Amino acid sequence: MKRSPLTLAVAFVLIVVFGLLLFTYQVRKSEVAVVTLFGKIVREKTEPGLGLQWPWPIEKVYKLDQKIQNFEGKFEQIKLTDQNILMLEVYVGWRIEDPKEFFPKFANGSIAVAQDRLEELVRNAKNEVAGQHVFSDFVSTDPKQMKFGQIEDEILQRVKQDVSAQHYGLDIKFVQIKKIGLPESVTQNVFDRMTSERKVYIAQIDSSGEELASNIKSKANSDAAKLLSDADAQARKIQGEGEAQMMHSLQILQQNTNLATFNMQMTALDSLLKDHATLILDQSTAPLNWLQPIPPEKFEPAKVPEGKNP
Amino acid sequence: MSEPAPDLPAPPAEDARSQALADALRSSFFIVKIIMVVLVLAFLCSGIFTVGPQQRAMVLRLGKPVGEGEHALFTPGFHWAFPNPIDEIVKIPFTSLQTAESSVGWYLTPDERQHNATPPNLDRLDPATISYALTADTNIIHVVAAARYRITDPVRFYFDFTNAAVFVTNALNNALLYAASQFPVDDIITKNRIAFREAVTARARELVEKENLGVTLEVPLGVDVSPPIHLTDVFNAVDAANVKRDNASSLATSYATTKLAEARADANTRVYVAESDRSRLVAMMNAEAKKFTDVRSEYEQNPEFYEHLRQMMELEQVYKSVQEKILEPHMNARELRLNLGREPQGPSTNSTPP
Repeated sequence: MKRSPLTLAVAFVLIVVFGLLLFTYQVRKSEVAVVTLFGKIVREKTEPGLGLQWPWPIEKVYKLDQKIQNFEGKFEQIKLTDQNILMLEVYVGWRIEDPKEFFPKFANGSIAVAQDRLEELVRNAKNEVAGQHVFSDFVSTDPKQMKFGQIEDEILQRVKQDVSAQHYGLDIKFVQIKKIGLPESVTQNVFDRMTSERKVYIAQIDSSGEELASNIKSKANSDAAKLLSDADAQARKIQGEGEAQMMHSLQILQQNTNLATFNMQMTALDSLLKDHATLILDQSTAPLNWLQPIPPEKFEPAKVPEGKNP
Repeated sequence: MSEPAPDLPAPPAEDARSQALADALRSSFFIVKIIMVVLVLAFLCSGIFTVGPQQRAMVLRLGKPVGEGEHALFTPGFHWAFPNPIDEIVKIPFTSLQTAESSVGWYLTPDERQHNATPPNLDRLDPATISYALTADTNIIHVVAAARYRITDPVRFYFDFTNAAVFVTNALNNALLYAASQFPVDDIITKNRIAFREAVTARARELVEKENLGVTLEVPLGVDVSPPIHLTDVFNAVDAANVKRDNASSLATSYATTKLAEARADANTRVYVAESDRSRLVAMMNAEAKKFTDVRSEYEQNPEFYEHLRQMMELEQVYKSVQEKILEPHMNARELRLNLGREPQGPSTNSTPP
């Protein structure tokens, strides 16, 4: 019986496809696969690509997600070394590291079951590590006393140790604090303290404000007084310099004090009567004396000596 | 004589049917072939895929990424890959900027914030329901941070984490608590908000790099802070006290500025007056000395005559320059009254009294 090449090709393709479906499996990126033979793990595949298997029910392939999972613990109270109580929640980044170890431990590789177990480990590690610290290791104004990051590292190391000891096949990538708090009853005390601190603070601000203003004003007054004092000193210095500059003129004037005095009196008189002055004169004042009536016996004009006032 | 030829046997009916069947089969096979070719072509064409402008794509061939690093990412446009199940196309959202907001530290949840819920005014806080941060001086404060980030390694972001965005949010949560635990409440709320924001940003960046999330945070982060709602009034009173102090300080500074300016002006005036007096006195004395020198010989020849002469010359000048002159020829006989407090003379008016 003659078979067409196309029919043969189609048959071949179908056989190949069927064979691939039966005897191979794919592992995607970020996945790992565990192959069981009659329920017993025989091998694993951690790299993405094509794998070979015996068809079901001989072998069965379980694919597990190898991405980093986010796990967040419970927000729980922890008693610290200094008897303070703190509430703490951490988040954990973890992934499947060894599928052969992980698969049988957690109900055929159940992530949810693994996280249930992880919650217990994280809680133990958190309580143990944080319980060895004091409150100021978590919050402190002194950076040297702060151990926030150190506590996170200690919890991480503790969880890693537990996971390794239990052979869970997990890799704990990081543990960080997500939430921190105080018990509800303590928050009321904190509020009371904060209120009283605010009131003290307000009083301090008020007094410091008054003091500050007073200081500013006092300093300004002091500076102003100093400025004026300096100015007076400079003025006196200038005055002294002026007097020194006048010494030569004074020496000249001392050569005839009568003349010097007379000249200066004339100058002063000139200045005195310069503006808006009212002068009251009588007939005895020169040159008004010349206005007096001439006595008949002196009809002849009197001979006044030259340069003399009457 | 020949026998008549026997009649040709009629073609068997089975052959006709076989022929018809063969023809029908031939036609059917032809149609099947065409369908198969079409199916093969459709199968091959099903490998064509498009990558959108806000996307990148990875091809997993038998589950394994094709290419490495940047070369594993298909950029926007048309591409072809082997059809499923040989190749699998994984499209990755690749928007320019993503946003994240902290989920702890604030008195409202992100959902409540979006719906503008009323904040609770409680005299005690249940940390399980109302979130906050503890400051370095053991005070309670509400803080929230918002970040924008760029996915710089999408393969890492989408293939190595079940939900990397949650880790970004938790990094913000941790950064807020970490920074708040190092700053006193007043620094966080008023005095040193910038340093607090920088501390939050630095811690968030440190965690994102440490956890290798494949993202880069845009800095600085947006950080908001608030005192507990129950203590808002006392914190506002502190603000009011600070404002009052600043006002008092401002008034005092203003007073100081004015006082110093006046003092400087006064001081300058005093110095100026001193200099002016010095110049005037020196000039006057120099002038007197010069006049003295000029007239000395003349004076010494006849001092009395010189004095009378100068006196008359001076009187002439005085009489010319004085504003008012009163001549009283009989002073002793009549009474003279002077109004010393008289008003200064104004311009003369021509109005006539009624």
